[in-house]
Amino acid sequence: MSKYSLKDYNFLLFACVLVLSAIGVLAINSATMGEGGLATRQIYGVLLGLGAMVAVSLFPYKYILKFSGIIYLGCTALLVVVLVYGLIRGGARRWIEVPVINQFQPSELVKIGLVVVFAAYFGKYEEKIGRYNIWLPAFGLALVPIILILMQPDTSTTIILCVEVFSMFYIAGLSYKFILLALAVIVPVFGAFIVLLKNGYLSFLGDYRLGRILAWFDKDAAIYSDANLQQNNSIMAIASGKLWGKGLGNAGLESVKNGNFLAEEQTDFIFAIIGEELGFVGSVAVILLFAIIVLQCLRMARKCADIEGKVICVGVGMLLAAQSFTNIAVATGLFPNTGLPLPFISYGVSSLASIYIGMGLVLSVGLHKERPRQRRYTSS
Amino acid sequence: MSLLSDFFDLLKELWDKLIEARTLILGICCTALLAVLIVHLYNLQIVHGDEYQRDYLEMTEKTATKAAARGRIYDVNGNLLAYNEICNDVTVTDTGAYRTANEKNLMLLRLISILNSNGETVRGEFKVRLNSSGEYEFTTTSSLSKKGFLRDVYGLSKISELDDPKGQYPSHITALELVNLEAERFKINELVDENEEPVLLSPLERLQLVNIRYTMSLTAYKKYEATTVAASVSDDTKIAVLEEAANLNGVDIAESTRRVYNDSIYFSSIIGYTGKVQEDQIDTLRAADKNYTLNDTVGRIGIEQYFEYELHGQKGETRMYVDNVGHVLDIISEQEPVAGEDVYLTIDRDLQIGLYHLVERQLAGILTSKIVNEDDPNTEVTDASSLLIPVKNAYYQLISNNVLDLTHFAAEDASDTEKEINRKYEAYRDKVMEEITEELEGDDPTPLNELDEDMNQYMVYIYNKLSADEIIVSSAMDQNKDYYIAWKNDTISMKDFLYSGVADNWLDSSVLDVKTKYSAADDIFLALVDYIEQMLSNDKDFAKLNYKYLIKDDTVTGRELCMCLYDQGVLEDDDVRTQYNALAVNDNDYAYEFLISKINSIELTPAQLALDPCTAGCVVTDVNTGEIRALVSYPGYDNNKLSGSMDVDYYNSLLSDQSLPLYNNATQAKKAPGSTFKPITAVAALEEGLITPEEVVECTGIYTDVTPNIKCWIHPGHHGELNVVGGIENSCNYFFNEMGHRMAIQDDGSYDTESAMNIIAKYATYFGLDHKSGVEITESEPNISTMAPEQSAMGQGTHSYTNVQLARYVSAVANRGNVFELSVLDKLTDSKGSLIKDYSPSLSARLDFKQSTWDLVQQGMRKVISEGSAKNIFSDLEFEVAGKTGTAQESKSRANHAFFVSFAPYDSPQIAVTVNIPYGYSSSNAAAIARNAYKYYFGYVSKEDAVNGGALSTYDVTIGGD
Repeated sequence: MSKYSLKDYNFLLFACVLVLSAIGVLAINSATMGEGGLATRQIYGVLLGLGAMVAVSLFPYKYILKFSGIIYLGCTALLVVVLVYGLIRGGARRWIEVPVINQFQPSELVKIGLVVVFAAYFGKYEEKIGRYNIWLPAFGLALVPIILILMQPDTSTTIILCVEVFSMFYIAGLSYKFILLALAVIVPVFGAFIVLLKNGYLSFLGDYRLGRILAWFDKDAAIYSDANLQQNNSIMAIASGKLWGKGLGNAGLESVKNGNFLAEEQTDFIFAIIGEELGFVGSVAVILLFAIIVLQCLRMARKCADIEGKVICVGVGMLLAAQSFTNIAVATGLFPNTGLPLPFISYGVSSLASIYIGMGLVLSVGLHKERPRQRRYTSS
Repeated sequence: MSLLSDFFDLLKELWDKLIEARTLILGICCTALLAVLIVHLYNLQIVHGDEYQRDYLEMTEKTATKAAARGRIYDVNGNLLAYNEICNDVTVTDTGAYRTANEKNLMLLRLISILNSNGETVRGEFKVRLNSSGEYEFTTTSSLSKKGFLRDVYGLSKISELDDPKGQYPSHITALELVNLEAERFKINELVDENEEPVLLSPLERLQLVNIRYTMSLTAYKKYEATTVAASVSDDTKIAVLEEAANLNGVDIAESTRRVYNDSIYFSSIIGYTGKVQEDQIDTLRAADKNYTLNDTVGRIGIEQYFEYELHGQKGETRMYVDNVGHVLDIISEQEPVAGEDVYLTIDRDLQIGLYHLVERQLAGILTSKIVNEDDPNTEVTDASSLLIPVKNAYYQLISNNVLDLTHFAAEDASDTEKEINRKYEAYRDKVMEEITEELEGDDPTPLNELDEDMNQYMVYIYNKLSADEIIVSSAMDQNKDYYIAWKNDTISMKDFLYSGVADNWLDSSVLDVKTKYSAADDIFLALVDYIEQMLSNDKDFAKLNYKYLIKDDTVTGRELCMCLYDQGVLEDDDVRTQYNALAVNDNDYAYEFLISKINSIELTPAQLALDPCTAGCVVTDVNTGEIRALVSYPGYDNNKLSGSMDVDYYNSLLSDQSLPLYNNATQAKKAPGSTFKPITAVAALEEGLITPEEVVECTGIYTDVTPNIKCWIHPGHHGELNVVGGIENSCNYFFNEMGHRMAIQDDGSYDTESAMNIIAKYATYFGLDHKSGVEITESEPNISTMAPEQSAMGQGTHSYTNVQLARYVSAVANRGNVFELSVLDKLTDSKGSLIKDYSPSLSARLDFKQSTWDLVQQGMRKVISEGSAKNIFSDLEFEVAGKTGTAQESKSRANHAFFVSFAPYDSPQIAVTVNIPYGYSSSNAAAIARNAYKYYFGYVSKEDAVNGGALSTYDVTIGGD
């Protein structure tokens, strides 16, 4: 245990999280038009999350890393449970029913769980980072939960998780040779996948996912109109917000939200509310807040002396970056329609809880910093 | 050189540092993504923001329309003929109060039970009904309309998308299957009540629920539009619905209007009816007024259609913003509808009604003079105008023309007489089916010409039915083969004939249920026999044919059938059933007398019997203005039942009615004019200088200048010397043959058919016979003869005209040269009665012929009435009528068509009366109708006397030369 001082606590990060959460509550209130008490529930969620964040940040992160084995097993077990007992919604098993918070999405927890697991793993094998026999088990560890999530199926979470895991591996020192090799394999495979998909050879993967992906590739095809309609209406809402937006919670006729044309606007498409009601100014502000948080995470990673801290900061930061980017890209039509919540803002307890815990870990890394050590690992 | 390598070293060092600074690289990546988002948002919100906002508002702006009150239709004296009655409709709006399909269905079921217990009909767009035997059937009237309906049910955009390879959208689907499919879709199969107990639905309720849900689904994205569930409901229903309002969220009573026609039977052939816009109409309507939609009610036919744009008015319009499912967010503007214009016809209501009855009574008179209590009154040499009608034909018509409902004979509540008839029928049918099976399957089939008449007819029926079902493909038959020649000569048996079809591949076995896959001819034939038996067992027309022979051989008697007229409520009896009991105790001779008396009293109408004649047209024209005063087509129909939401059963009964009530006999029935054309020939001859007023032609009884020779009707007698007036008066064929012949003879003595036909066409055209009369309703195109000058000159050849076309011509003769575009339109006013436009018929042509020509032709026509063969008919009139009779033969086995064209008074003509009776036997019958029309028009007969009273006697005069 090292001593820590309050000046090492990253209050900028804390403030950004607070502001985003507040924007989230307001946006949810507008999206639900005050109905169903969702905004109130979200406030409770935010308060609980902030509490958890502060609590986690006060724990020395290295202490937490000691539980990585249990965390890994717990995460994997939950993923198996959800595959067996999970609630089916829209053709996928992603939720399990739990008391008090109703529904809970284990994959959200896994996002943070893997950060802890790999921080601990690379911390343990810091000396042997240059060797391949460290990496193979690492890939194995990552693959088990990723495949379980893919089986739900939940493609978007799988991709986010891949980005997150890759960033952690990268910061831990994965060699460029390996990265180039992996790229040489992945790019052609992905290309082939797209070609097969477009020609209808992949129907065994299930209509639901394929439909959404195909809808994006082929925007005029009427058969995918539902997925496209959701996105088109979101784009219409965001674009019509223009510079200043139509005002948070407005009652105007020109509002796409008020016309009830938005779907899942308190969760995955919350950015449609932000874009429409807060305009370009508000949207850019939200994006910049995310950017500040992500860049702060990366800065803390750079400043952090030990590999555990670096992995935590980069893992959480890149998770945040990937998820917020993907969500906004979907809402604005840059990406095909995949269901992902916008961190801190979308309604939903599981996603809030895990991201706050993640931020708690990052704050803990800042708070419990060690004296810089000589870098012992090399990379090529 | 070294400088360059230093530079590269430096770059490499920088690069190495960069790739080592892994957080920096991640940061750069993140910043790049951030930039992408901001640029994209800038593009959307700043560059294209206004466009998207505009698109959105366009998407949410909707216009709801409210139909204007349709204009009224009046007769020339301002008597109301068509108007709108305010009525109450029950409507449903999806307010979103019922969250689950089950709740919604339960609510609708509550509504349905209220409607059913109050005797209301649930209506909607789901074109299936429950027939009297409790089975679902399509109400569509053609296979095209069925496909259009299925397209809508499946949610397709084109009929061609039906019968897709995956079989998701079959067009060969039964009504039951479709109901089940939709019940599935709307979760009607899983309906449970408040206690989660399954709800059992009767077939009717199930259909009604499907109907309402389907109809509501058509406007699922227009929640601002209410769906009408029951139209013009009673006050009791209205109260019952309002009392239950608390449990019927979204159900409302809406005020609407219903088109009502006064005196509908008399005016339906002129006014027509309204209905939903047909798909083939919509483009035309939209071209005139873009506000028309497929949901509008528009004129379908007749005046309702002709003056659609005037009658329709201007729709009210509410522009509003709606949400994604069509709930109204805000109203932008509202505009009240403007009522349509009122149309005043030139028709005189009382004249129209009186004439209709006079026509009907005359037709009844013809029938009673022709129906005889004999089985076989006609011989091969019987002249077409002397044909008699065996009473058994009349009895058979009671079945054949659906006066009696033969399905009721087998019903549980059938009377004893009906059951007895049914017993005989079933016994006979079983025997017939056995014989047919024996003929088809047995080893010793009989050639067709050796079969009894009934069996022979049944075989013909089977052949026709198989052809209609496209199982026999007659175009694939080889006309040189023995079987074909034997079939034509009736010397082959049905079995052998059909077998040769299997062998020769003109029998399409693909729809047959052939047991083996690669079938031998025997298997196909057996499947065919099964098919035939199946086909005949459910065939109403075949049953009717059975009855024909049951009546013919006295198994089912006229007495029994007449009794059924009372059992089925076709005729009404007194409280003690005097007439019924009289039939019961008397014999068939009494039944004959009974039938004649019922025709005489018009309790059984010519239209019901649909014997020859059962139709007629009578047109009264104001000769000085070209306005039509009466335009009667017998029989009429009740357009109240066709307007708005059509009574499909009634419409189908009209379609199958052998008296063709939907067909206008004054404007559509087109026949050779016969001798009514002769005055035109006379005009032509006089004007072309082919004959002088004093010149005579000697009729020798047979015209020999052409081969074959043409006999004058007086042959073997002869008329001797006749001038023009005499020619018309006597309707002398010889005289007019000679006129036609003279038209063909050229200056150099040569004969030229074409120049004769040109002259005939020229004068026919002068009198407007080259184009439709101008009357504003459906009319057939006239045909001027193009061949045979001598025959054409006396109205034969290929001349063919309708009643109204002849009316225009004879009016021009009466008024000495004004050929009008006839019209039934008097004026248009706005809904308050202020005049918008006063119409008067325009002149189609002004004929400047010599006064002497008009004098001579009018004299001739006057003499037809005063001296000629029609003298007896008109002898008791106090005013002078001029006219011309005409007869045309179409078939030797059916009666001749009768015509009469005329005008009166002779001195100063006011009106023209033209009458046509298809298969009316003699032109004296047409003349008799005209006589009564004049008496009625000029006030010698009261309306009461014209309308009431029985069959009018016929004049037993032979009118020659027609």
